Amino acid sequence: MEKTRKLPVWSNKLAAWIIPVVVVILWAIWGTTQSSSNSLLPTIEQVWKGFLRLLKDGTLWENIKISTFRAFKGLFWGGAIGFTLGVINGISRKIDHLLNNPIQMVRNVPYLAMMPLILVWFGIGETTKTILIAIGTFFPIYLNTYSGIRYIDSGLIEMSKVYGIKNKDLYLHVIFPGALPSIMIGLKQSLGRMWVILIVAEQVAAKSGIGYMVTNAREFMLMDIIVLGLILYAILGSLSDIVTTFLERKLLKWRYSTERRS
Amino acid sequence: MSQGYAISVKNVEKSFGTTKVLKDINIEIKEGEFVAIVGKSGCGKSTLLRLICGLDTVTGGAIDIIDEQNPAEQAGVKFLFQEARLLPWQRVWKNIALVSEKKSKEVAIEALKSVKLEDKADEWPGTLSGGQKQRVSLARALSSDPKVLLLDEPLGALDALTRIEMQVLIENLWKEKRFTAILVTHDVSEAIYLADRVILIENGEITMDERIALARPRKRDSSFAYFENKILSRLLEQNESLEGADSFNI
Repeated sequence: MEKTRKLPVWSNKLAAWIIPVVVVILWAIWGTTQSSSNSLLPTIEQVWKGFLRLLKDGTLWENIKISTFRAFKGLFWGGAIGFTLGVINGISRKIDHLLNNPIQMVRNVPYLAMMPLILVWFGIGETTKTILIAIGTFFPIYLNTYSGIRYIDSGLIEMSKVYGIKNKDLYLHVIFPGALPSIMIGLKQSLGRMWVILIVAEQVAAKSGIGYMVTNAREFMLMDIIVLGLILYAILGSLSDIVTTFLERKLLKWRYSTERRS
Repeated sequence: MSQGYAISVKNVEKSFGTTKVLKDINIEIKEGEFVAIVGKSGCGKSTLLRLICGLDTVTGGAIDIIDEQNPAEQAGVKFLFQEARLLPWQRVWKNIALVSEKKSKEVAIEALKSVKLEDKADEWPGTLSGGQKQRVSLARALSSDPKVLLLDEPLGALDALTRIEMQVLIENLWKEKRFTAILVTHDVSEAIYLADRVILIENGEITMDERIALARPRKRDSSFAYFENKILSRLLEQNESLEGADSFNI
């Protein structure tokens, strides 16, 4: 047995921040050596000033709000439809034969390739962005819900049969919890896609939001705002990661408590 | 006090595709009797158990589970699998409560007491050892006072000491509750320790039906060894004749 020195948990959490902090420090040091005329990469100070400027005139907060709202609205629809269809197709073989093949065919079309079509149909309004995000987030949740239900441990289903667990109890206490780990993986993948589609959609077809803010800044060569936009995406992405990890620990408590012991 | 049901297996046959797994099986099991079915893997013993339980359907013949009061009733049959098959996302007590009629924690704790695991009621199944899991599974089977308990090599995956503990536990619970028990195992000594009758199945046929006339609790003494030897030599004899046939063919 290899003897390892156990570090406390907080040190692991700290380790995750070492590289980002070093990058910021290097960036700050690099900034002090630059003359103000550099226009390709802004200094950390310039980005900070840009941040305060947009914070003061209220546009920053407004754009964050709009982007986040859009993202989750799309995720809500994509997730709800994906989950429902995943459950139905997972449970019913008959409906599965009817629906699964067409869904798989659509899945093979890259979701961003549908953008021109949806732009022509729905213009550049809110509906377009919601639909684009909904399409992108639908598949991971659908596929993982479907396979989570389909590939549930058959021994447990057999046990339920012998012990008379059926109908509501079977779905609530056996099938759904059994599929949940897989569903959570789907949700995580969907969240990643959600931000990607949002950025693209907002840069192509929007009059507000972080993506629009960045595209607009490019027109005027406002490098500080472009970099600020990227940082905002990173922060929003990380925040949604934190939320799902929290959800996972809450919902899949049995897994974590088992791992800890073994 | 629950009294087990009698079980009547008449001319039962079972085929999977063209393979005949069971051929003309006839067994009469009295209420409250403890029967062990032994045989090598693939002989069809587990299939027979699954047929009695209704997990598979017979190809021919009939299986009747007879209750004096209520001839059509089959609900009192419970099955103990080789693996514990607990729901890992439910607490130990909930695993039992889910299958009991009242679904209450009190009933679950009572059942856990009978296998001496009441202090694990609030744990996740994943934190238990293999033997503890199988004990919870036994508590789950017994929580609804079954009339028939079918055991499909439930101790096969346990270590030798835990096995002996479990055998004693199963015997005591059987004596207390008087359900009819059918144990499928490939461990001849386990079969003799627990059963009133040991049935040997070879290639889908019953080749031996031996009554174990020993007082309980059984000690592994010379008369125990007599039965063990008798059944084992029957098993090995068949093995040799098969090998002989093989070499003859070559």
